[in-house]
Amino acid sequence: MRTKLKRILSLLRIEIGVSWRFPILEGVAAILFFGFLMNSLSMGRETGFSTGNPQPVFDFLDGLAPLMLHRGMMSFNTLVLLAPILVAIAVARPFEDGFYRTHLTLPVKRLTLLVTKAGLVILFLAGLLSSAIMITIPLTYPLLPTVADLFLVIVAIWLFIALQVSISTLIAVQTKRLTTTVIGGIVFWSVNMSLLGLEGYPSIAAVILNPMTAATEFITQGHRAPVIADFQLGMVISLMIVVVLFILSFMIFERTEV
Amino acid sequence: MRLGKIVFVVGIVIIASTLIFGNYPLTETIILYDDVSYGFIFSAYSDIHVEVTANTGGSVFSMYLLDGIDANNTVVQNKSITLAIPLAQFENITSFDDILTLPGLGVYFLYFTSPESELLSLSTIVRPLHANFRLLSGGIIVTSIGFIVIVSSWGLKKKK
Repeated sequence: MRTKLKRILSLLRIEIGVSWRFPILEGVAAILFFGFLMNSLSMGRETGFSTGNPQPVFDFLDGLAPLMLHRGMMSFNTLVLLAPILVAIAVARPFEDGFYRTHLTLPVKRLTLLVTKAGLVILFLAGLLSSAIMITIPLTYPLLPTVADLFLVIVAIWLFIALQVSISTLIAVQTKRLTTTVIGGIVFWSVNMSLLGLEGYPSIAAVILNPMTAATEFITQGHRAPVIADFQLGMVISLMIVVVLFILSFMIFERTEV
Repeated sequence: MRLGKIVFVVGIVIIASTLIFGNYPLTETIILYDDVSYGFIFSAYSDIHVEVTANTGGSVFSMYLLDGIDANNTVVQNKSITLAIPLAQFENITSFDDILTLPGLGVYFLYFTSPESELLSLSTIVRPLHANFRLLSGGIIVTSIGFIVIVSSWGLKKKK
């Protein structure tokens, strides 16, 4: 058990030193924090009304904290584009430069290797995005969102990133190419964003494909907010898709020649 | 060492974002006519510089600065705008260009009325005077933690 743990730790050390070497991880942290702060500080701080329609004042104040969270989160939709790029660096590039051969000289299973690589992308991206929210919200928001709202958004962030990473990982192990991984991930992201803008798009599909936007719509009760049953079911289906995509990736990776 | 570098970079980004986006001005165009008055709510963290100029039409207006929550309660209770006790009020003025003192981070409300029935269009610009000190201090603390971690891990490495 101890030896196994030591092997995993040395694998993590190699992975952080190679795929996440300076300044990749630091750059990702900077981009994520900058994006969130830019949207939170420069947008959505005002609303106007006339005496003919005083009710929006109440609505606005009542939903100010979730609304600010929603505006801040809008930048995250773009920042999630980092996922295919990072998967390409961590999972696809070792096929091209032959680094998997070096990796596999270590007494580690292929499954452990792929879980470490894809898991670190999810951990770093979602962990940094969650930290950006947790650190900056108490310092910038005049009214704080509830713990339940915050928790829901953070869970949705982890799920959305896991979805992007699982799709990009599948493309990476199937094509073994850095460029196709990046392009494939961007295509999925673009299709996802285009579908979100469609009128009459089923809300459950929106939750499955983009749990993060669905969660912020849900807490702000925007005009595209899903009903709670759709939201819960959508989150579960999305998680199942992530699991299936990872299982497929592991199966392909087991049989792939490196 | 890596953790220290990441924390340091995050701290620098927080400080830079505060300085770049913290003083972002709010602009709002206000149309007043007959019995219609207009207000807007904004979040602010420091004293603000407010500039109001009349574009067209009549020229006399009144401006009130209220605490946002106070304004909200007024609306909720009465279902119409009856002014709560304003933090500042300027009545029958033709333009405004001055600094307004705010108690701290919060939601505020600028409300405009005109005694004239003629249509009046106003341009308002609200600029925060200082950076968000809470966020700036947060950024400085995070940067310092990162710096301490970098220096101590560098020291430990050298000792080994």
